[in-house]
Amino acid sequence: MNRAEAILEIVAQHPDAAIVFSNGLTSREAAHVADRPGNLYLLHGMGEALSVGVGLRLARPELEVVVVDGDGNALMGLAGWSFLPVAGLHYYVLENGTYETTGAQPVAALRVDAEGVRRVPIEAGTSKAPLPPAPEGIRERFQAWLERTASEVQWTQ
Amino acid sequence: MSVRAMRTDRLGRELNPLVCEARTLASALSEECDWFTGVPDSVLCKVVPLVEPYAAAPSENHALGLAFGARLGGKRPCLLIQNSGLGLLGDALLGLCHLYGVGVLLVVAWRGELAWEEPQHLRWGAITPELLRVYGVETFDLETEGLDAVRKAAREAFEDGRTACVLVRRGNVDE
Repeated sequence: MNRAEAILEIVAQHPDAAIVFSNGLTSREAAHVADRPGNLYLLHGMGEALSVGVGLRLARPELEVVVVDGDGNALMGLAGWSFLPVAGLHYYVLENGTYETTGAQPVAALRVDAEGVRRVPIEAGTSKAPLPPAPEGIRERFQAWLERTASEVQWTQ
Repeated sequence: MSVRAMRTDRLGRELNPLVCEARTLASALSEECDWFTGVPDSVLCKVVPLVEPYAAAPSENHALGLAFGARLGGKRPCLLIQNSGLGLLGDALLGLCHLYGVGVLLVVAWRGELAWEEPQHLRWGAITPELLRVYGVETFDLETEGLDAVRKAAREAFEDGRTACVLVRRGNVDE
């Protein structure tokens, strides 16, 4: 399974969730192959995807939240694993053992585990992944989706 | 000539003037913010237990990551940290808040400003206002502006989408 296939599978499993993608190829491939208004693409802030997802989930307890990290990102944000497990938050780490965005340098092995971490081995290599949209557009579309989701929840309650 | 009586702590060391009690600062923050996170600090040690909900973070960058996510989710987040965490804060500040135009309120304790403070705080104390300026974070001084500093910083953060800071000097609130 490559990164794009893993992302498509995760998105298909959580059709109603807010999904936070970590920066680099994880965000770029997601924007290319699995774009949807409930996706938040991080362009920077390496190691922060999980914290962002946890903050979002704590702020919006009715919302299902998914975080998709790479292994290099997970390693940089490892202290954030202390938040886990978080009810209603699904945390995936796509592991290919490389910093592929910057030229496939090796990543130190993730020799730790925590409850609530779903590790997904993927093949190294990337499909065509153009740059994702500009940050303002990413945020505005995601927030508009969050607001629509909130009003739908109110409507159904 | 005006003479300001020197305020001291119980060890006789000089302190900055008291602006308000910790519970008054906590109330002012709670009027502007509805969600709190941070990393502990002794200057703010009496404020933190009085604000809620409070999510403890393992580092300042992750505190800001949490606050960024909470702000997207519609909260008005406040981060309570000490200035020695400004280094760790920088990556999430530039890579999340500034990049996406999302503002949160920072409350930063200015350790290492007074000459008697411990050596590990002195360099951070010396660069704190300049570092915040370089970071592009407008700073409001609790000592000179009083609780207006909280209101001004909150307006900048939540109405203008620019992360802003309230600087708290040692002695400005009771510890």
